[in-house]
Amino acid sequence: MCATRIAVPGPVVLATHDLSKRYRGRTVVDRVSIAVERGDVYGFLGPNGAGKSTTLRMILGLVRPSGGRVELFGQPQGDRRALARVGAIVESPSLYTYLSGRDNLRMLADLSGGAPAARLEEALVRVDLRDRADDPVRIYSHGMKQRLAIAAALLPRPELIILDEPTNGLDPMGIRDMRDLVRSLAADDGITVLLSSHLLAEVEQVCNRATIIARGSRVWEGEVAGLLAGRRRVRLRARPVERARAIAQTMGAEAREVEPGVLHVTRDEITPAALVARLAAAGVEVDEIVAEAPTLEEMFMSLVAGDRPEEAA
Amino acid sequence: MTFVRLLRWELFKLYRRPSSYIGFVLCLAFCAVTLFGFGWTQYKGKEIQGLKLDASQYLNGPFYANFVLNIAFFALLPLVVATVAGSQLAGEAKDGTLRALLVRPPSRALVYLAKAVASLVWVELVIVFLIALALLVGHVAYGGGDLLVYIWEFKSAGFWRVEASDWPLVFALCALGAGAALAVVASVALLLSALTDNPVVAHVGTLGGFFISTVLQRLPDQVMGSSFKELLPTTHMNFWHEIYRWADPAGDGMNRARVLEDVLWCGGLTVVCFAAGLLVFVRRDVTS
Repeated sequence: MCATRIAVPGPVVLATHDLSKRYRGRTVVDRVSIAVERGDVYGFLGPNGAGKSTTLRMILGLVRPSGGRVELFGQPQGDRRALARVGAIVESPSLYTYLSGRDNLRMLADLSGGAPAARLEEALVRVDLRDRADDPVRIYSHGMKQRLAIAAALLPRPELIILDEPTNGLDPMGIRDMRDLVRSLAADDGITVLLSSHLLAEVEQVCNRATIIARGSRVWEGEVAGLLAGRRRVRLRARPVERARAIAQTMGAEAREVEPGVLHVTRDEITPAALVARLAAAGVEVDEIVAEAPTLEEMFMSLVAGDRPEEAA
Repeated sequence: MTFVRLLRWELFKLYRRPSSYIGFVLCLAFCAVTLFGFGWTQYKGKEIQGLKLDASQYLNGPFYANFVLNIAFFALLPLVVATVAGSQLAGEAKDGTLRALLVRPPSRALVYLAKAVASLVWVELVIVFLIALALLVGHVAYGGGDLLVYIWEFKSAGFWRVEASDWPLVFALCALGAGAALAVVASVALLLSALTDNPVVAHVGTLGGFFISTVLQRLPDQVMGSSFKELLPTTHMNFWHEIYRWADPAGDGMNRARVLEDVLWCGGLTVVCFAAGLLVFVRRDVTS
């Protein structure tokens, strides 16, 4: 399921221009430029160590860029009024473990300009922590901490929320809840979201636009739908395999034998059901058929090799 | 307004953080151990300046409190200051909570200043607690009366008595003076805390510096010249002892020039370290 832009395309709320960071002569972020528009759920995709967190830290003013610049709501980095319009979680949730969840929220909201008590309760309900709000955070699970950190980021009603690997360390239920929450932030609250992840599937499910970085450099930016265009495939185990390949090719697909008796059939328009129907009609026996998307590693390999999908204008 | 809000939350965090109470616990332990030690030794008295004094003449609540304060000033209180101030930035960096603070509207400079002031307030609370506890325990154990003052630095001047009606004010001023002197230690701890993400480095670095300075300062002049000792911070941190001279009923023997010089020296060092820490903190990358 691909997310779509929720709000009408609007002005750029966050832009980086040739943003770079070097540590002791080693370049960890190399001239990365992105533009997040109002209403985007923007994915920032890359493997671990690609420079995602460093870029987010530069955007938030935690790390000083070695080159380039950041604009938040049209203001240069360091403008505290612009920062007041941003909610953020960088890496693991940053919470005071010796304070209760409620005290954490009260403090972080107060330092962001304040929020009435009713909003605080509302935020606790939204992240399903109202019953545990008075417990010390040290006894919270990782998922609860993550949800509390999101509540803290949401309390000052930000226009842009930056989430750095928000599903890291969560169980499958927690991951699903987190993705639902991110979608809801955009759909119900109209908040622009910048989400970093090393999971292609996550970005595909949640984001409408994305940037991919590898080894500190941007390798792609555009619509997520365009990222996967021509890359969806079906894994097919059939007999006889040569006949199956010929039928797939007559349907306009590319079919490649990746191991004995197994084909990768690549064509976005071909559904597994349609392919099975054609194969069965032709007397081909289908032992296994699985719809697959390329892994992030495969995407990187193909992008770095120059096989780039259509980039957004 | 933002600063007041930050300061309120910094004090709240100190109030709620269990490790903040280590200073108070150490004060209790210190008083208990010294009382036990006095009892064990069956301390009877001492010859001072050729005058044999019976302990029953001066060993009372205020004497005991003064004894505790003076020992704690160069042993216990620097430890408390180093742990409280040294944890302020490095501790939050280590726990990752510094990120949560710095992605919010208050500037880094305000965050730093609020942490500095909160540290000083907390240290002052520990000093007041120590004096109050020692006075209470001392009164229960030895009773009340005038305060006999005898301090190592003033040994050439002998001892003198502060009347019972005056020593509450003397202790109040000493609490403020000792707190002001310990601001030097706090500023060094905060500077180191701004330089590292590991609070232990800030604690050990600060205490190491303090104890080296103390040891060198106490070496004989033949070994460590007095002109060199003038460069050591701890040489100037005892200015608050002059408050006893000021309270001397026999006449105001306070060395005002010396106090002024020491206050300026400590104040200058404190400002320089705070400013250096602020400069480092405002410019540093938060990577923890």
